[in-house]
This record gives sequence, C-alpha cells and structure tokens, in this order.
Amino acid sequence: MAKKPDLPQGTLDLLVLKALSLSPMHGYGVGQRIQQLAEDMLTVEEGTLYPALYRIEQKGWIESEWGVSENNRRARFYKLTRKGRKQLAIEESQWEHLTAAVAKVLQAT
Amino acid sequence: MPWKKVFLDRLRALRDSDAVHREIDEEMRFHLDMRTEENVRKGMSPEEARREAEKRFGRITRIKELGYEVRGGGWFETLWQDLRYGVRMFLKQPGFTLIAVLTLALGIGANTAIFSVVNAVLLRPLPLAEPERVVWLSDMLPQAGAVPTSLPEFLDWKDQNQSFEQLAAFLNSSMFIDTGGGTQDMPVGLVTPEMFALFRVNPILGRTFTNEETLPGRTRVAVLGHSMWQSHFGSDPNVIGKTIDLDGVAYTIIGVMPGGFSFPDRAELWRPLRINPNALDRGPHYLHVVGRLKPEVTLTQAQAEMSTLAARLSAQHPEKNAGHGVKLQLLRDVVVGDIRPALFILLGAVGFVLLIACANVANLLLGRVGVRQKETAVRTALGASRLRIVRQLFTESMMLSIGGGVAGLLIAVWGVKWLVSMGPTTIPRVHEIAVDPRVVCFTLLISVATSVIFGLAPALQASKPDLTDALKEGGRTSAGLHRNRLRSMLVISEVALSLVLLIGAGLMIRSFAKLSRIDPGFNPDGVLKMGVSLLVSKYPDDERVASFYSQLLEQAAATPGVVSAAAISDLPLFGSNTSDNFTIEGRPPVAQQDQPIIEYHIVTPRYFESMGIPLLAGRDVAWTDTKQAPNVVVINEAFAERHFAGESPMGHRISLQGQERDPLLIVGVVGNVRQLGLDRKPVSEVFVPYLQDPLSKNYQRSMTIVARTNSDPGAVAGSLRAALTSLDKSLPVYDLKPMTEYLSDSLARRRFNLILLTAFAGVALVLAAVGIYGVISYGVTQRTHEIGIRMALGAEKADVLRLVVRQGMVMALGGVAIGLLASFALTRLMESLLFGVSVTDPLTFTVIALLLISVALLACIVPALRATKVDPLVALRYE
Repeated sequence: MAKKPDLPQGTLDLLVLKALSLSPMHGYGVGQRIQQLAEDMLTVEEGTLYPALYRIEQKGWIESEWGVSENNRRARFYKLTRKGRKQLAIEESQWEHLTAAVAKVLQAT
Repeated sequence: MPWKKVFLDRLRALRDSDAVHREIDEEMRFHLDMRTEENVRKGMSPEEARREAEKRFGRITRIKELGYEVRGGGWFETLWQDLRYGVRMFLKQPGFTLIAVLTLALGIGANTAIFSVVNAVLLRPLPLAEPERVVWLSDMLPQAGAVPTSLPEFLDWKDQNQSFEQLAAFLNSSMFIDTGGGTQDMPVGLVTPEMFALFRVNPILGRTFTNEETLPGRTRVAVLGHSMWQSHFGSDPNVIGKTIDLDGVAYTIIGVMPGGFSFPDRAELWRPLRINPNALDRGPHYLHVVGRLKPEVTLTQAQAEMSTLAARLSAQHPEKNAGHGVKLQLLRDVVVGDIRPALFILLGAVGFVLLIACANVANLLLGRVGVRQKETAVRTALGASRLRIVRQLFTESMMLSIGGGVAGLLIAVWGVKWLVSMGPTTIPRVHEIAVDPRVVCFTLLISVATSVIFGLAPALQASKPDLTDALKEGGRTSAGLHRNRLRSMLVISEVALSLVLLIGAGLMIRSFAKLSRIDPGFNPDGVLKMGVSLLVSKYPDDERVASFYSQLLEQAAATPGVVSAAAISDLPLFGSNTSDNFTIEGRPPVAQQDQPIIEYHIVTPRYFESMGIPLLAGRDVAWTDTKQAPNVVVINEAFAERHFAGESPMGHRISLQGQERDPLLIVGVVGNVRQLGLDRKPVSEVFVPYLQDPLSKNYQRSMTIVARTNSDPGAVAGSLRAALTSLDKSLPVYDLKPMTEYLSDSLARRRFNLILLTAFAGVALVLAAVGIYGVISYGVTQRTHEIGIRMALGAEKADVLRLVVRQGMVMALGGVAIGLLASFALTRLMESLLFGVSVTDPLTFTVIALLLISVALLACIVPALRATKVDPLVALRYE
C-alpha cells in the first residue's frame, strides 16, 4: 500500500471549515467527515484536529457549544460563523489558484 | 482576531484552569470512545479497538497541552505564573527588593523631574495657534547687535512687508492698580491692535482695540485678562464699559480675553500702544515686534525679504537707520533663550544617575544569580527552556523597574513642586512645569528601558549555568569568576560615570565660588533697596514729581539707622536698561553706526555714597544740576579708560544721541560696577543728575531707592517703609529687600543649576560607593574559604586587608581613569555654564579624583575588616 500523503501546512484549516460548512458537528464528526469526503485518500492524525479547532475558534471563524451527540453523549459541537463562511470562500479560491498554478508547472515537459 | 473572546478565555483559564483542562479531557475522551465503538462495530475486540483508537489519535498528552496553550494558558498564563513567582521572591527578600526599587526610583524620579522641566520649557509648543509661524523680529545694530526697534521702523516694516499676515508691536510694562485695600503691581502689555489676531485669540466678552484707539488723545481703554477678570471683577458679565484705575487714571474696559492668553510675559491686562504719527523718532529703540508668517512663506524667505527692506530703510534714513538690519527668530527660540544648554546638561546628568542606578541594580541581581543558580539549574534540568528562564528573569526585572517607576513618579511629582518653588523666575515658562501625560509616558518608557538595561546581563548569565557544576553542592567555580568579572565591569562604569558627574559639579562649584568672590563694584552690606513709583493722578507734573523725590529721600535719610539714601533709574547686575550712542566733543566725527555705546542711568545725589561706589575724581551730581544749569555727567572708570586713555576726562564734553540742550560736561569719575551681571565685564556707563535727565522731557516716576544703614538692614526696613508711606499712603513701595539678597538673586539661575548638578553628583557618589561595597563584600563572602586557608597558612590580618582592598581599588582606579578620560571629552559641553574656570581645570580634576578614590577606599575597608575577622576554623568548615 502506498503511503498516504500528509496534509500540506495550513490546509487542515480549510478542510475543517469545509466540513463544518455542511452542518454543525463535534470534533469526532469533523474528522470522520473529512475522511469520508477524501474517500480515505488522506490520513489525519486525529488528535491534531483539536488544537486546530481551538485555534480556528480563537480566530472567530467557528464557535462551539456543548450539545448532545447522536448516541446521547455530551459532546462539543462546532459551527461555522458568518466570518468563517467568508474565510472559507477566500481559502477555497486561494487553494484553487494554487493547485492550478502547481499543476501548470508540473505539466510542463 | 476577536481579542475580547481570547482575553476572556485566558482570564477564565487563569481563574479556573482545571475547568479548561476538564473540558479538553472530556472532548478527547468522547472522541476516543466514538472511535472505539466504531472499531468494535467493525469487529475488533474492545481492547484492540481502544488501542487502535489511541494510535490514530496520536500523542494525547502533547495534544492536550497544545490545546490548552490555545484555549487557556499561552503567554498570558506564563506571565501570570512569572508575576506570582516574582512577587513571592521579592516578598521573601524585602531588603533586596526595597534597595533595588529605591535605587531605581531615585534614578527614574530624577529623570522624570528634569524631563518635566525640559518638556515644559523646550518640548511643549507655546500655547498659541501654529507657533511655528510666529516670529520675533529685532533690529540689528552694527554696535549693539539685536535690540528692540523704533516705532517708525515698525510702521515701515508693517506697511512694506509681503511675508507676514500680521505684524504687531508691544511693550512689557507694569502699572499700579488700586484694589481698594492698597495698590498692587500688575504686568501690563502695551500692544498694537494686530496682537490679538496674530495670536488667534478672540475676546470672550466685548472686543479688542481698534487702530483709532492707538492715536493720542482718544479715550483710555483696556482689555482684561481672564484671571484678572475673575479676581478683580468676580467674573462680572457686565464688566464691559466699567472703568479700572491704573496708575491713578481711569480706563474703560472694552473686552475680556479667554484664560490661557497672557502675552507678553504673563500680562493680565492690555492697553493700546500709543502711536503718535506727528512725533515719530527713529532714535529710541524700545519696541518688541512679533509677526505671523503667511502660510506659504518660510522663515528664510521672510528673513531675506526683511533684510532687503531694512537695507532700503537704511538708505532712506541714513542719519538714524544707517547699517540697521533685521533679525528674525522663531518666538519659541526667543522665549526659551539661553537655558537650553543648561537643561541638556542636567538631562545628561540625570541620565548618568539612572545608568549608575541600573548598574547597581544589575549588580544586586547578579549577586542573586549566584544564590539562585541552583534553582535555575533544577528548572533547566526539569526541562525549562533557556528562553523560558530568561523570560521569567525579565519579568522580575520589569516588576522591579515598574515599582521603581511608580515610586519614581511620586518622587518626581514632589521634585517638580520643589523645583518650581525654588526655581528662579528667570527660567522661562517656569509656571508651566508639571507632570503631564507626556511625562508619565516618558517615565513608563524609561522604566521599561531601564529593566532591559539592568536585566539583560543577569538574565543571560543565569540562563547558561553549568548544570553539573551548579547542582554539585556549593559549586563556585569558573562561572562565578566570570560573573565577578561582569560585576567588576559594572562597578568600574559606575565609578567612571560618577566621576564625570562629580567633575561637572566641581567645575560649577568652582565657577560659583569665583563669581561670589567677584567684587560687584559696590558694597551691598547694610544696604536696603526698594522700588517706588509715582501715580500720574497724584503727581501730574514735573514739579510735583521732583519735589516729592527730594522730600522722600530726605525722609529716608532722616529715618533712624539710615546713613544715606538716594535713587537710581536702574540698579546694576540685571543687564542693560537704557543704552545710547555718543560722541566726544573735539574728536573727529564718527558715522553713527560706528559710535560707541554707553549705559545710561539717572541718579540722585549721594547714590554712589549710598552704594559704596568710590568716587575716583571730581564730584557727585547735585540737586543744583537742574534743567536750568549746564548739563553735567558722571562717568565710570571703564568709560574713562576706554575713551580717555592717558588723559583726564574731567572737563571734556560728550553728546548723547537724542539728548536735549547742550553737551554733557564730565564732572566726575566713579568706580566700575558689574552692570550686566557678575559674570560680565564692566561696560562704559554714564550717570546723569535726576533733575537734568537730558534724554527725557519729563522726570522719571519709577525709581529704585537705595538706603545705607548703620545697623541690620532688616531691622530698618519696616521703619523705612513706614517713613515713606507717611508722606503718601497710596505710594506703591515694592521689592523692598536687602541689597545682599538682591545680589544673590542675580545668581539664582546659576545656583539652581549648581544645586541640581551637585545633588545628582552626590547621589551618583553614594550609588557608586554602594556598588563597590556590594561587590567587595560579596567577594569576601565568596572567598571566606580561601581567606580561611590563607590565614591558617599564616597570613597576617594586614595581608588579608591588603588582598581585599587591592581588589576594590583596582576597580576604583580603573573607573577613575576612564572617568577622567570621559570628563576631558565631556566637560567642553558645559563651557557656557562655567565662569573663570577652564573646562579641564586641573585642580577640580585632581580633587574630585582623590575624593572618589577615598570614598572607594572607605567602601572597600568595611568588608575588608570583616574579612580579617574570619576564623580559619569556621571558614574551613563553612560550606
């Protein structure tokens, strides 16, 4: 099995924002959703998600509150703020720009 | 970043860090449980499922820490920890803390106080709109330099210039106001109407002057200052149209100015400057002129235009204006005047004091580094990073210096009060000196800078301890030696800095001593002086003025204890009052601009006798020298030497520019006095009889009375004043004081600089002594073991004494050597503050160096004596 690639620096924030843009979610769910969406092509050390979540929350892009999970346990739910939605749009377009540029370079023969 | 949320989170973590930790724990446990359940669903055994979940999660402890860093702690909590730790440390060592904070407070306080003065005098803009466009204009005379201008010249400047929005002329004056309970001297500005527009101030009530009101023969009008309006009219809103009695004449009040406007020179009352278009004389120069530049005109452009204009006027009026130029200066520079160098020197001096204070505190801290070496080593061994330790030590330094800053600010508030109360009134803007927000910012800034300066060395030292060495019991090896070298260097710099300060103070003391020994040319002992001014209302004509003065002097001379009394227009020591050019009869004619200048005084008979000025030849002026008798004059020795070298001046006649009647016959020669100040050479002077006063049509109303007593002048003062006011109850008598006090007033500013610089140097000396003492006695403690061995091996007490003292004296001598070099380079800067002493005066340099060396010796001997009392047995056991 080929080694799954590590996430480039900074992209985790983008993935978290994207995952939360669908619906509010607890930390575990955010991880699950990223994995699903990436169709298991990415591997995330699950723990590192949490410092990232806290950092994004401090930036004001997401906010959190305690809620109840699908299996009736207390869990901390995160949701995108208006600012976060804007940030997601910015980061998405930046990402597209970047990948397009990198692709162009790599296609050169 | 929404700082508010972050801040609240941090605060919450500070208050209840457990709660934050619990939340993080719970969130992660939930994650692991979910993953485990998922794994079990996929068919793993519960143990395997848990293991796999933990593996996927990563290093859980580290992640929790990272999370807590973001959510709770961060630098905020670190700081809080350091602060709490610091407070505990300081409370455990109150002696150390007190000394460090006090030392810093002294340094910071002195700096803050002097900065308040610099701030008020030099930095704070003048309280007027766009001060950078307000210019002071003086006439430049070929002989006398910058002087006030004449009325016609002012009018020419005003009408013909293109550079100024407004040009205004003014005179400082003072008038007596009848307060009902007696008369009071008030500063009054005589100004042209443009003055108010120029300063961009509008009256809060009524109006200011019109051009009409400057013409002679109009109603007498006055504008009130705000505080005068409050104090004399109870802020009466209907004050306009009422009258005020000035010098016994009624003036109609037409306006009230807002608070804060008091130009020129604290004026609280303004009158229009009289301009008589039919009597314009280019001779007398007495008007001060200010102008506001047009926005697009620079000072240089205005100077160029005005110089051209002055040249044109010189050509048009060669008889009076020949060679006259114009000098433009910013008003600010004129107001501040010559105090700038003194202030910068004082600021430099307090800067040195602060550096010495820093060195001392750094020394104290370095001493503690030794004590705390083990603590630091343990922390490092437990994983504290070097940065973490440096940060903590810096936090402690910062706490010390903030403490010092707060205490220093208190010292400064008190110090500024003291400075203002004892500061001479000749310091410009002295009443504006205060601790304002800018000063507080300055204090804060130097506190922080201070903590960096004194905290740096100890922090770096402490952060690289030799671990194994420090952890060993009583490790005092190479690191200790290195630290000692650093401490010695600090002490050497302290000694050098204080030597520079002491030499500066020494030079000032020598100057002052020389000045105090200067013979003023008169004998002030037993002489009283007082100002007297006759109101126009009571003494409307010359006869009455003249007869009153002769009566007054008779009465004064008849007062018990008074030997002789006389009057003069202006006493010596405080500069020029009236100066004029003159020619000597029978000498080849001289172009006006090349004519010599003399100081002009009006005196009554017996003035020289009363002042103790020797009459060298001829006679005194007499009451018989009237306007009907031939004009006579008494000249001083300087005049005689300069213009009649080798011949007797007696019998020669001189003509003053602008005088009335026949030339003045020289009838007497008197000794020189220091007219312009003790530190200035005597100049040529003439004294004319009161009843002749050839430069004026009228007799002088304001004179200074001098009375020589045969007893204590203080005891005679009361009866003299009573005797004079018995002639006229409303007679304003002011500035009644012994001549010795007047003499010492003339040195007030020098004394002020001297006291401050000496105080700073004294503080520096004490701090340096404490520094030497600290290092030597620390050295002794450290070397107890070694000293014990030496003594056990047979060293005498004297040997030990020598050993310890030598160590201290090497530092002291090194510091003195460096300090001497620095002084040679730096004392040049204070040349303008010195008098009669070379900036490298060998005596001062030697005495001060010896003084500092003796103090250093004393500071070494105390710990050295302690070292000789070391008991070898105890010392060898001592660990």
